[in-house]
Amino acid sequence: MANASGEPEKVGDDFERELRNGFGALGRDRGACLREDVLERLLHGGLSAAEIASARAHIGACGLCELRLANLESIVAPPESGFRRIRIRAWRVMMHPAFAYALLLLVAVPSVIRIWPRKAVVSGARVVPPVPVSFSVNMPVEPAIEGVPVINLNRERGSDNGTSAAVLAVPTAAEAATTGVAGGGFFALAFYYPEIRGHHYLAEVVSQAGGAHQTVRLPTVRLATSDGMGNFQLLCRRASFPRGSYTLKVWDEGRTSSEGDEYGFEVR
Amino acid sequence: MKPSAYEGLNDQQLAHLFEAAGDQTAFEWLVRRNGPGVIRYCAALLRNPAAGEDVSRVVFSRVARHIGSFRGENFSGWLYRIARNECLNALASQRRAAILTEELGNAVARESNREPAAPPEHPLQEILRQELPLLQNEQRTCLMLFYMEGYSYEEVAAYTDLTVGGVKSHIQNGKNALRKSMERRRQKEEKAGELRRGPIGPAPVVE
Repeated sequence: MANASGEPEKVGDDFERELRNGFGALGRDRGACLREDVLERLLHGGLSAAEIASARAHIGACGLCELRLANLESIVAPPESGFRRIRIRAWRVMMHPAFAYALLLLVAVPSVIRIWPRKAVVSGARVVPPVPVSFSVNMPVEPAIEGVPVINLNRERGSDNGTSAAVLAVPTAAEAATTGVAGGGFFALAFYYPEIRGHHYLAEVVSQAGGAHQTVRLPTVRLATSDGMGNFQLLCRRASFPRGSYTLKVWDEGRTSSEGDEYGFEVR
Repeated sequence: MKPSAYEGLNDQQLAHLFEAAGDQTAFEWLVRRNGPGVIRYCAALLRNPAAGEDVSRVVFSRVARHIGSFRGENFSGWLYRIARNECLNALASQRRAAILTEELGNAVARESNREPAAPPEHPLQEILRQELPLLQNEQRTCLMLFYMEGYSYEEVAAYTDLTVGGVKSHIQNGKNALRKSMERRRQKEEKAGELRRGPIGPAPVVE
């Protein structure tokens, strides 16, 4: 059998001949082609199970009807439901490049204008506050009360923070009474901690032996010398601090003490 | 809307105007612009200029009826898909008429007791029935149009919107896939036959 374009059949190709005969036999008893309305109802429903089976059997043996069905599917799409339409539109919006840029801006801008709290720089096991060098060195530390000795706990960035604890020989009340030094009953701890407006901070002074002497909640407004830029002063009663080494722990109220900063000092 | 205003609109805009506001003038402009092309296309597919004109009328009535299905991407592509489908419908109608004539002939033959004997089932018939649905859609369609319907490569390409090279490739790949699956089937049958026969024992000794 020659095909419709008159191309010669390959001589000796048994498979080709078999295929032609097989297809011919398959198409012989397929019956009449399906009407258009039947194809439409096959697509969108409306045929009984027997009608569907019969239509499918015909389509399986008729290239023309199979093609018609595929074409019809692409031409007459079922009416879109409201929800589907919204979903498609939402998907189109999300796939638009402008949406990606907007999303990026939403993430980048708050971080640039520091809506989120700044994170301290982690250096080894210790947390070092980001203190500008000139700021911590040159800052004049004003005592909370005139004549009260101040232990400056500020350190320079890059210095060996672990070993050099601030030391101040603070006279006891009795010594102060005999030597006439003012403010003998108190001393102040001056330190820098990155302050965020509206945040509250907790401070804890721990002796070297590990016992907590006091836990002080530090609302920033109560700190007399707080300049709103993170320069805190903590007034301490001398009698509560026997001579020895101490650690001041400062941390944000919303975090744990291990996430804060530590300042070592010594009272002699 | 002034008649001159339609001139500046493209097909998509005219289609939207017709869909949204039922603007008949917009539809007339669509027909005026695309009508000649659709007639030529249908005539070429059906190889019959008169039938092409008839079918193109059906095409535009279908466009008017299903304009709600137009999603607004490419009106021309959508229109020509409809035209192609209507040509296939026309071919199917012709075939329906031929089969009805044949069935009428058979009925007459039965009446006069000269019923033609039903041809025996071809061995490949059942295999094709099972294997064809497993092929890729394009391969199956091209094979069926080429071998079953007897269309040429060019005709199959026109009906399927593929290139002639693409059609040839799909037919070749489909044939290879069929050949392989038939080989597998044959081997399986042979193995099953051997199992049924059982191992060949020693020949009986006659003393």
